[in-house]
Amino acid sequence: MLQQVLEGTEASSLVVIEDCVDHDGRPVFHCFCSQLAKRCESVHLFHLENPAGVFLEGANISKVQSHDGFSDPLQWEEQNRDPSSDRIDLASALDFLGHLKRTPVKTSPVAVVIDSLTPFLQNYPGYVICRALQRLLRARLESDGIEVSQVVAGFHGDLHDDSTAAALRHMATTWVQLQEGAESPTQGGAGFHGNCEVLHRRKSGKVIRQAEVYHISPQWSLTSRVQKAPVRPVAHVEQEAQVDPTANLTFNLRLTDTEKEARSRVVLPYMHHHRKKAPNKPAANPGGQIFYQPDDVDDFDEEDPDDDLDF
Amino acid sequence: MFTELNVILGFDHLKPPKGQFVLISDSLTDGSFLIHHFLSLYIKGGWKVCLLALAQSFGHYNAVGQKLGVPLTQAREKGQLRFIDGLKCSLQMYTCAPQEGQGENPLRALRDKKATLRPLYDLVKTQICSEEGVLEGPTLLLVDDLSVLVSLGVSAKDVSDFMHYCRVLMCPTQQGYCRVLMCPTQQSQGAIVSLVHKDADVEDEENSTLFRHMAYHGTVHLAVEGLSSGYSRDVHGQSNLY
Repeated sequence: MLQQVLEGTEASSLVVIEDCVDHDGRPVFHCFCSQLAKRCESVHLFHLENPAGVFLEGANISKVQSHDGFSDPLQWEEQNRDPSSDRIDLASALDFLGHLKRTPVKTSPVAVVIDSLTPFLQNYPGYVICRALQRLLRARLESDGIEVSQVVAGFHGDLHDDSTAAALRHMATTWVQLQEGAESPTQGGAGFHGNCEVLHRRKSGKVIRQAEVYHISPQWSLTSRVQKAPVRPVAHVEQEAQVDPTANLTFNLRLTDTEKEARSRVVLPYMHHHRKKAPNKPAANPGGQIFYQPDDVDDFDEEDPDDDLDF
Repeated sequence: MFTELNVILGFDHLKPPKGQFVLISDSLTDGSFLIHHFLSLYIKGGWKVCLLALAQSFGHYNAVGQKLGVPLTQAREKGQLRFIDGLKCSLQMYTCAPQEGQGENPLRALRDKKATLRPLYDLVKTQICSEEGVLEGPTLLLVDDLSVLVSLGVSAKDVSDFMHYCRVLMCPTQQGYCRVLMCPTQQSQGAIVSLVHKDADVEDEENSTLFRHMAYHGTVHLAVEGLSSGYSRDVHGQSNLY
């Protein structure tokens, strides 16, 4: 599924790639950059965590417009080194569409790649990001002069709270969660590999969830396939016959019917009717005696005298 | 041990690599021996070194340096070592009255919650850059303990912003990511080594956030841990390399 989304055979308007500290998402991101540069008329790269060059090796650079949020996002530097490129200022209002409109090249539709949403999420509340992304996806040629075919955004899952991730997951049409993978799908190949979980929503409403394995060759071509279910050892059907613990005992634990009847006739010494037989018998000991008289609703159970105790 | 470490890392002791962001983390033990190791490695390699000391004084580093055969006082006099005494700055920030020159203190973010670590970055920059704002030759920025800043009340975001700018200054093109593919990238002139505590038994959310931020920035991560089997006399711990 990842490969289909990357190559454009499976349409998706917002792709979010979630990575974590243990597994770097930049190689997958790089693949998206170079693929989109092949597929689309123009690609807008918002890079905030890495210089643009990191993602553009092997890509058709002439089609890529980069918006620099890496070298000076907070305007700490007094002399801006390169006034020609478009800069992202994290202190001012967030407007992806405004950056797109500012560039001179006007070819539509365009693709937008945001190298990581994390710096944005550190400076703006989550809903502002969602709104800006929504605005970007809804841009139309007639009203805005630009149309966006696909947005690909990176996201560091372990730096944000669950609600932010949930909000983004709700918006995204494809959510790719990258994980460390044990084995490479192609034997002995150089490059990068790992596992990913893809959640894809088709326009028809069908939701596909797949666990996949991916591999990226040194030429930045990505292949992915569905992860094979882990091979489980065949469960032993024949279970061992349960041993009866009461089988070979030297004493008797069970009662026959006659024994049960005999037991039911035994009158317990503290029962009240026992006293009726000898009403005038003086009390043996002056301390008093305890008698038990069961009432109508009493559920006196000989088998379990402690039934009413709540252990 | 350090010879092996250099071999594993691929660091030539005569020509330390450029463009690396080395992150050291320690859990339930002290990882500062690696700070001393990298300090002496880069000084011996002839680099300019800027040491931002937030946890220890110059006297401490000098004493350890002498044991390792690296005279830091001489290096400082020659201008090879630039020392920023963060310990003194932070103390001043807490002990002095507000009007006594706190406006110039690079760590004013400790008391002023609205301030950022920009003054500290400006100070680092003036120490290591020429007037045009570019590095003069290969330079190492060594931050001995980033967790101190978080412990003193600076938010992880501010520390992360500071380190982001340091990274842009020192190693704008990172080696670690492209080296796997052996592609030639433009060489950076600098390198960064910094330490973050990551104690497994302490639940400090801000500090672990900082650690994760730094892990995303870093190219090499050295994790120093105590042995799971307990303290031993000859082997003090293990270090993992990511």
